[in-house]
Amino acid sequence: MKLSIRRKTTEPTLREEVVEYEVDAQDATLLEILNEIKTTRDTTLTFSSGCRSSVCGSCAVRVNGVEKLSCVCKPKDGDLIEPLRNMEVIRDLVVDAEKAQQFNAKAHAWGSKNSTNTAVSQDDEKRNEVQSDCILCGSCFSACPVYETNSEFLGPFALTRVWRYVTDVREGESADKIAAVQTNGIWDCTLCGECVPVCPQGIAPKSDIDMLRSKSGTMGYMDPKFSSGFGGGLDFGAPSF
Amino acid sequence: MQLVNDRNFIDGIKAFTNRIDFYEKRELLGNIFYDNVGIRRNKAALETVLDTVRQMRKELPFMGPSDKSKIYNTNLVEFIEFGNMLELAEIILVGAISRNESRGAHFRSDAPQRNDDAYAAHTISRYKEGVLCVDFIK
Ligand code: SF4
Ligand code: SF4
Ligand code: FES
Repeated sequence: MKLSIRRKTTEPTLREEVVEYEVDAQDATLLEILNEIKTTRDTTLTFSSGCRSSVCGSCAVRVNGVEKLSCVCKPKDGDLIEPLRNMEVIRDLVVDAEKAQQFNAKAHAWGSKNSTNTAVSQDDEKRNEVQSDCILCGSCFSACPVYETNSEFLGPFALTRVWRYVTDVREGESADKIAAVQTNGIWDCTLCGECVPVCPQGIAPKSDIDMLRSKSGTMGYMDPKFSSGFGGGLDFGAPSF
Repeated sequence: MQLVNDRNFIDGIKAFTNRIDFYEKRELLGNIFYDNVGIRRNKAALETVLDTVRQMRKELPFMGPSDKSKIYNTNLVEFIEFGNMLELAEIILVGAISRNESRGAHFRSDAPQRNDDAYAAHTISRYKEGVLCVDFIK
């Protein structure tokens, strides 16, 4: 079967091209095929991988425009393989995930301070079990259309991770996290849902962002678009509660 | 010391040719290990594999990476990993050959009994004047 791969190098000068490969792939994963091409035909073909078993999240690419893990996806004849979007391509299928992953820090997506309650029940654990499974593959980040207009958007995986910690009963600084996602965060998401079907771990960043919005609402935050659209707040004669 | 060794090795790679395909050798290494250095092993087969591994280590300067790029060169990374793999392969083999007994997952069909007198000990591998040696330390 034929497989096309979008390649890019900056050495010695910038060269971008789609290269077609004829491959014999009986039931092989895309990663196996890439390895076959690299080890037998073209040692310069560059892609990243690690665990080969959908655990490490380092092998995500786009297949016909849809984000997939190379070590899971079994390509079909005529498929086009491209690097993830919204990140700088370093070489061929390898992208620079540095900036994307820094959004985790900007969004305070970590456990900060233990609350007084450190007892975790089975139910507590279940509340953010799915979100805890994120492997930082960047698929959702690549699928998100917001980056066409706002390169500083905190993005789906960082926001999902914030929700993971906000819902953690052991977390003592949820309010700080909610504050950190107000700018370039939850209100910039269009709730388009593109990030949901591409997640290999069954996480739905869109729903988590929606939950963060509700939670923010109960803490007195509101959508800045809404407030500016109505003259900068609730100052239009509405009864105050 | 290790850092200096590694730097020298990487500098040296620039002069390596690629007459021999290290990916083919890597595959061969995997196969001969699978067949001869699994749970069931014997001295003669281990020694044959050791010869092959030592030969590969000698040939390493002819197996250099063909991708000369300075950007995200995974061909170079895989070559360095292959060099490390061969070093570990030799250590595993010398350890398995020196341990003339069977113990746990090390089953020597030519020495099926456990021998606590000689081998109830840790295997310590080290280079003495460039030669790989194994001691059993209780
Ligand atoms: S739902 Fe929000 S985060 Fe997800 S892809 Fe759409 S805009 Fe991006
Ligand atoms: S949320 Fe899913 S798609 Fe996004 S980085 Fe995590 S595992 Fe990948
Ligand atoms: S190689 Fe680790 S997820 Fe694919």
